Amino acid sequence: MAQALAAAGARVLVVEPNAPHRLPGLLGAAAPPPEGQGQVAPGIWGLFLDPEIAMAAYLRSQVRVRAIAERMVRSKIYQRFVAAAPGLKELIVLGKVMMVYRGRHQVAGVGGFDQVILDAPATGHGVQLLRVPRLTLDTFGESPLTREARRVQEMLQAESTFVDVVTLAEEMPVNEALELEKTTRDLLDFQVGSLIVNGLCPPIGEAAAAWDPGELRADPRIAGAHYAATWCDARRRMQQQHLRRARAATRAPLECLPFVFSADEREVVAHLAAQLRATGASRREAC
Amino acid sequence: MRMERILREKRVVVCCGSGGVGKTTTAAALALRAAVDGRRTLVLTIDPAKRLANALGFDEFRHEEQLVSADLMRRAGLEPKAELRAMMLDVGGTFDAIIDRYAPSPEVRDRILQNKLYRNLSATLAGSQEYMAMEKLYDRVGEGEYDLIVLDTPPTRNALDFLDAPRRMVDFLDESVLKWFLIPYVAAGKMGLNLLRRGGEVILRTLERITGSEFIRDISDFFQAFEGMYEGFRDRAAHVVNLLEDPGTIFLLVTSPTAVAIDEAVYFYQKLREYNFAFSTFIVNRVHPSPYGDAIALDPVEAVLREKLQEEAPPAVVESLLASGRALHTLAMRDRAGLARLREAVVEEEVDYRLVPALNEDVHDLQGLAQIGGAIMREQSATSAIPPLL
Repeated sequence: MAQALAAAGARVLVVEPNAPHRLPGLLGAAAPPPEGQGQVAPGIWGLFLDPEIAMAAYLRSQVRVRAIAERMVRSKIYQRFVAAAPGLKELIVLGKVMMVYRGRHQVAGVGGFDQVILDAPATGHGVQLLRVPRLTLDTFGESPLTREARRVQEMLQAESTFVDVVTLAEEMPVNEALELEKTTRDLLDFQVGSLIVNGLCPPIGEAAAAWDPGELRADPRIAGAHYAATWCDARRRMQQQHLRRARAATRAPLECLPFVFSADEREVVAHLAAQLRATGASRREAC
Repeated sequence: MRMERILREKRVVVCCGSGGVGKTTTAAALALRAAVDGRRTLVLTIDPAKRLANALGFDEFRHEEQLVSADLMRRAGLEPKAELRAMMLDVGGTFDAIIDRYAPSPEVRDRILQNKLYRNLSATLAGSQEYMAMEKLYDRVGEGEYDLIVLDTPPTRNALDFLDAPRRMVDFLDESVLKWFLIPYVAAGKMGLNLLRRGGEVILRTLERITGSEFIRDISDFFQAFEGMYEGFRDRAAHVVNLLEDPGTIFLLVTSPTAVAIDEAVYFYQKLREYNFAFSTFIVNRVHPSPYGDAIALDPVEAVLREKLQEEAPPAVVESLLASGRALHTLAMRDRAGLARLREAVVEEEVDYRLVPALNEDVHDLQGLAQIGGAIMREQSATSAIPPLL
């Protein structure tokens, strides 16, 4: 998505809230940029966070006397406090995104991004991350922390913020994605952008799957190719069945991405970016 | 130790792995296999997506043990020699049950259960889900109702949370630290309080400024209510650690052959070694077979195929065969590279690898689970229609 937007001329920031940080490698950078932030590809900057470090940095920003801040970060009380305070680290991570969003934080000296993409954790943990601002408002009394949570919540509920739900066309992932879409919209009260169905097999096996090789099957290469065709065809049929189910149940625009048969991850990313760019930024029904 | 012996002899099998690699399905498949072979088995999952329910024939998962219907098993062509039960953990509920068990009085119990901090904490404390999974495991093992318990675990992104959970719980309830939170609110004049105050006051005052006094008061209330319960909790956490180190317990790692999943599996494997937990097997799911066996280069194979098929099949069929063959072969080569990377990172020679082929349909019923179990056990009948894996 970042590569597609960048190719269209946008300045994009991608935030990876947890290690291991995979984005630099996927976009061709040799290693994450120094200090966890910087440009990773033309038009794409990355902010690679470690919740523990982000939390300590926040504390330093709140405590004017550096020596006290350092002593606090090392103290057992602080460590236990961070462990006890529900969602505190997650809030600080979202707070970082909010700072960039509001133009109060620059990434390696760069600001004014056209789009910020947060690569959220998988379903259960992702929901936990997104409900942190509300949890903070419920747990803490009026304080700098709740003011931070309120600002993060405003960002998440802004008209320009969307939660895209990404899934595979398989039974369990589709169930999970539909549940996530519902939770996001109804429980968390955030806008759902698209339901993106990834990894769809193209119809390459269709013609050969219906063909009977007969005695030619004795050649292991022909038998192998025929097995591959029936495998691709059966997989595609199974996926189409779940895609239909997703289409019938979702209230979000549906977007489809093909399975890219490549062992090179960067090639896969480039291919998907081209596909996303072809579908356009309007995010309309694409499959 | 080989899988066959593990399912026959071990009492606890812990399945670890990153998200989306089929870990829950694998745990269910192993449990089903053990029950069919005659061991009374329970599979415990903490997966929030409730995935197991569909595959085991439940309309929905409940937070109690549910019996998998023997009739359903027979309809799937299985002849179970023992019962299989499955259960999903209710993390909050489990925590409540422990409070209930250790609270010295109903008043203390209610005070904790109603504490605002506790209500949020029980679901969000780092590693609390993982700890509760192990607590439940400890309970069930202690009751001795099962020959085998298969534990499905959270994704490996939380590897440390999971393995560290008992120690973290002990640390979290370290009285020497908790006292600091009580300082502002306990009666003054106790011996040693001034000394304590001098050390922690600045830190507490700063935290209070950031989070508000209400929260520090909640945290203080919470820890005060906990007084007298620490020992019970700590003992229990120590028992949980013992259970994980018990010779009757073994860890398996479930992965897929993609580079990301392999890297995470290797990371977890190294952590298991660091913690000295017994580890036996990598179960690698979704391995693609190559349609052309060991052939590495595709061009010569495709040239021969084109020539042979020229007069035997319509051009559209030939193109379809070649495109499909190329696609599956590419995946097989990617998987081969992933497996090589895994073997390279694993230092122990006696580690076992079990490969499960990528199926072209979902595993959503008992037959599918039995097929996965058969592949893990290397039964030819489970994979006879599939070209051999690497």
